[in-house]
Amino acid sequence: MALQNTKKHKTGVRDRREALHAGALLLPYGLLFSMFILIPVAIAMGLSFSYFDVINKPTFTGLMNYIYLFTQDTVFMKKVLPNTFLYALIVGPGGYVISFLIAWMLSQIQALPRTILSLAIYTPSMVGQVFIGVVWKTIFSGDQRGIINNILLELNVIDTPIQFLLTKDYFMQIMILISLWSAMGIGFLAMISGILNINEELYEAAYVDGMKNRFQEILYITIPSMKPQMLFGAVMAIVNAFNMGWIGVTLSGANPTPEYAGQLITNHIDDYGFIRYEMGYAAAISVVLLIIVYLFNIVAHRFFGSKDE
Amino acid sequence: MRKIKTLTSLILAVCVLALVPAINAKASATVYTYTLEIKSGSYEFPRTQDAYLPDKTVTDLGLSKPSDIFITEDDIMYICDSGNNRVLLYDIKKDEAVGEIKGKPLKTPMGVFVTADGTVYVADNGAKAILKYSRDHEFIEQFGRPSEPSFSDTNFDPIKIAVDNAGNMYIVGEGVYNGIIQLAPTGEFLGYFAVNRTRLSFSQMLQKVLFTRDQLENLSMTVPTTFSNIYVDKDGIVYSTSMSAEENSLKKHNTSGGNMFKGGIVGWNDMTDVTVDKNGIIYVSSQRGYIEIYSKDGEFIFEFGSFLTGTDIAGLFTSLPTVAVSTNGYIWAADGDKGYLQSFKPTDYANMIYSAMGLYETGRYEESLTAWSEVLRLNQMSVLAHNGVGKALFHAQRYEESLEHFEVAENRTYFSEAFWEVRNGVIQKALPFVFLSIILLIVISLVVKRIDRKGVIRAKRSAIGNKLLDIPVLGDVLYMFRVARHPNDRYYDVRVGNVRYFEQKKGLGHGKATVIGATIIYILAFITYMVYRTGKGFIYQYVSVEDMDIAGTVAGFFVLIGLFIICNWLVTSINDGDGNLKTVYMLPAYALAPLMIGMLLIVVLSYSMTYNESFILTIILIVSIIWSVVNLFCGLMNVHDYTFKETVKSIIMTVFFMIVAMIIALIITIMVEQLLNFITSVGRELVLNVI
Repeated sequence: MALQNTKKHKTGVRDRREALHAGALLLPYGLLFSMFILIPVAIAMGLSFSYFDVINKPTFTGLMNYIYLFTQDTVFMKKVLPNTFLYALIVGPGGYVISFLIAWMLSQIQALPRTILSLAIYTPSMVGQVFIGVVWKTIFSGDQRGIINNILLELNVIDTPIQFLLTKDYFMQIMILISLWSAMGIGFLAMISGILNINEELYEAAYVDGMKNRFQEILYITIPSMKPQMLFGAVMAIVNAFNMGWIGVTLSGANPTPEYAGQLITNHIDDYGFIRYEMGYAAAISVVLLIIVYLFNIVAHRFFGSKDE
Repeated sequence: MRKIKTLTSLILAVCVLALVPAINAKASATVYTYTLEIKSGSYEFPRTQDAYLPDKTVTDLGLSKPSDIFITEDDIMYICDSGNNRVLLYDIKKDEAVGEIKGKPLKTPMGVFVTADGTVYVADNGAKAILKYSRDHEFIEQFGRPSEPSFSDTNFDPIKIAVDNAGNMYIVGEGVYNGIIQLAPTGEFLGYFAVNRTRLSFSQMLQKVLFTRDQLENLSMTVPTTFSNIYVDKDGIVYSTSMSAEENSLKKHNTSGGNMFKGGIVGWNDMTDVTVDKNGIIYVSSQRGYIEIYSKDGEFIFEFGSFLTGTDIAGLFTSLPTVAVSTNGYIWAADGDKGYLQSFKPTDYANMIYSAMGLYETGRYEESLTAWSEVLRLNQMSVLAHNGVGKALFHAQRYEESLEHFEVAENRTYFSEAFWEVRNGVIQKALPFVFLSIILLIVISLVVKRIDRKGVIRAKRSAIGNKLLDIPVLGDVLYMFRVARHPNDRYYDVRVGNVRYFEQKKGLGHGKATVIGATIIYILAFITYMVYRTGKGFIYQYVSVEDMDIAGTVAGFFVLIGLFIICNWLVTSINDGDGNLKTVYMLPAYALAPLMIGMLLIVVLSYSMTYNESFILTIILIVSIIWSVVNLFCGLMNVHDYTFKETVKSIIMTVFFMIVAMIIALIITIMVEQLLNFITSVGRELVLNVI
């Protein structure tokens, strides 16, 4: 705010001093931000135009990485891109809707059970990786001791245990299921606080004006009143949806995932960056990912952004 | 006198006919060949060129109830002559019997197997043992009932046997439900090799979960089907057949006993014997009298034969227990009742298919392409050949050409793969233009935004939209898009009958719902629906237009909507609903916009999508359906001025009334039919008896 104010009145010693103060106050954060985020991103963008194998000096190759990505890399076009979109389209909006519904339901109950329940629901997103290693791997284990296999064998539905985590048939579905289960993250907490902060008088006034049911309550009062939290939740959901590649790797224990069934863009970046050490190419893929995430965020802003932005 | 003469001549004629060995009628196709065609997802078995012709019939071996035959690599056939308690050797090339195995222990041999080194194994059902003979047919040893405790009290009545390269014996025992008995070379019981599982029906599963142990014991438990035969090919892969298994009657086992034919095979469940030639082609005999031939991967190639019959026609059987293949590719089979051998000679057509398959498998795609094209020349409609040509072209990277062959063969999976490659080529060529146009669009939109700071152009654009909405009929139809965007508000307008004041003031109150508009929307929705059903791209159009029940679809569409309107009107008018027939009629129409757009989008996209991206179409469909249903729900809620609960209740009641109405309609049609029948029969009676 301070900076904006100074822009409006450029003249005057006082304003200049105020700008100086603001700049000084911003400096620590600005330094850290540029050192750890801005500059690395810029370097990655620069690297994406080069060939870099970590040992030798990067050599400039122009747009070659991007051209290769879209024309030669069949794994990317055939598996990774469709996988990522499928995953993001289901886990993004799906997790978002579930988060909102659960947050709304929790806001309807008393404080103590709400605190306990929301902690319980928030837990999976915190301890996800450990949980997947222990719980989900046991559930979907490929031998007779896997819980689901055991039940199916017991009921004579199948003859031999299904290799859930080592074949491509069910891998994506399992990934999506687990992601939805752990989708109640930071965005969910923000939504709870958003719902709880809505002024009760608004509802009363709306009922006086002729509102009849809970459904209308959500549609006309709850959502419009918590647009900032909704936006935050949406952005978090999108970033999450494109960032959860590790689930596949943790489940199958290998990158690439079985027959590229659960290969998302982040896995592909890992594959090229930290397994094949083709940093330039990996940087190019990350730039593409950045653009995709940015485009999705624009859509989210369309829906939930406030008018004056 | 004359009568006697004719009688004697008749008797004579019969005798002569009986004496003349009709079996010797050769060469002409007495057995027909059928191939598999998958049309619109269902299996059909049209007749095709003869793949095999009956060749030689050997009747002079004195066989009685032959139960198993086995042909070695030097074309000696071992025949299990169960009726005579012996194993007979027959030289195919010399066409004569060349000896027999008749050692003391042979009681009722039912199965025979010869390993590559010439060791003969006989499954003797009578002696309840496996007998092992040397290359020179000298008795070596006998394996009786395994004494291992794990074998417990299972029956040991071996009927079929096969032996792998390591000398492990795979034995099919009579009445053994546990699977194939596997014995080590020493006769030690190793365990059951493959197990046919019981498949429980849903009710049986429920019983298993809910019943107590006592109750379960009282139920007659289903037992797994037993195996009917077994074979081990030269690579040591075990094949098995089983009868009356619900699926997978032919299995190719991996070393752990699992089935390598993933999706199961196409065929019947009455297989009696299986044999595999050196190219891996699988021959199966069936109880009906047919011989089926499968490729290495379990693909149905063709079947030939005829139903079992008592007449003496070459190639027809009275029972068909066993089949074997000689080194030159002739199929041999034994008739279990009459005790003769019958050979079948492959035609050029069959040989060409086999060689094409072999070439394809060894990776010589160009040569296999010419071979398949040759097959195609013989049979233009052969699905097998089209698939073969398509796959060969696909591997030769001639994707565009392969497309049409996959389309004829209705091989959608491969079509999708090939189409992906074709599309990829197009994308690569068009990529620079796409990038350029995207950049251009971004620049243009930025420039427009720059110039249009005050929103003049935007206002103009929405003014055009509003003008369109103000055109009488067109506007009424286009109004459905406004409904889709704000269903609650717009349906409120429908109920109130005019546009709300403040909306008008804002200049938003354009267009309105009318009966004419709704009617046009219904017609448009119907057209969209028909396009969706019939006009999708090949990979997504599972049922071809010719096989579709168009009349049923048309009637179904209009009856369903009409019924919904009437039932909803009836239900709501007795439940304090605000809507009248007019508004209820308009209600579903204006909810349909998302669904219509979704269906059109799917049709358009289905031409450029492969199975890789099929989820996009699924998501579009799901979203459009949900959107339309939400619209409809909001519509019912607002038009009838209901609460959420009342709306749900009215929907349930509407559906219930629809079902009732349909049942009543059914009963009425049946009764009218009866009445007409009655009247016509009365009339007939009158005509017959009175006049």
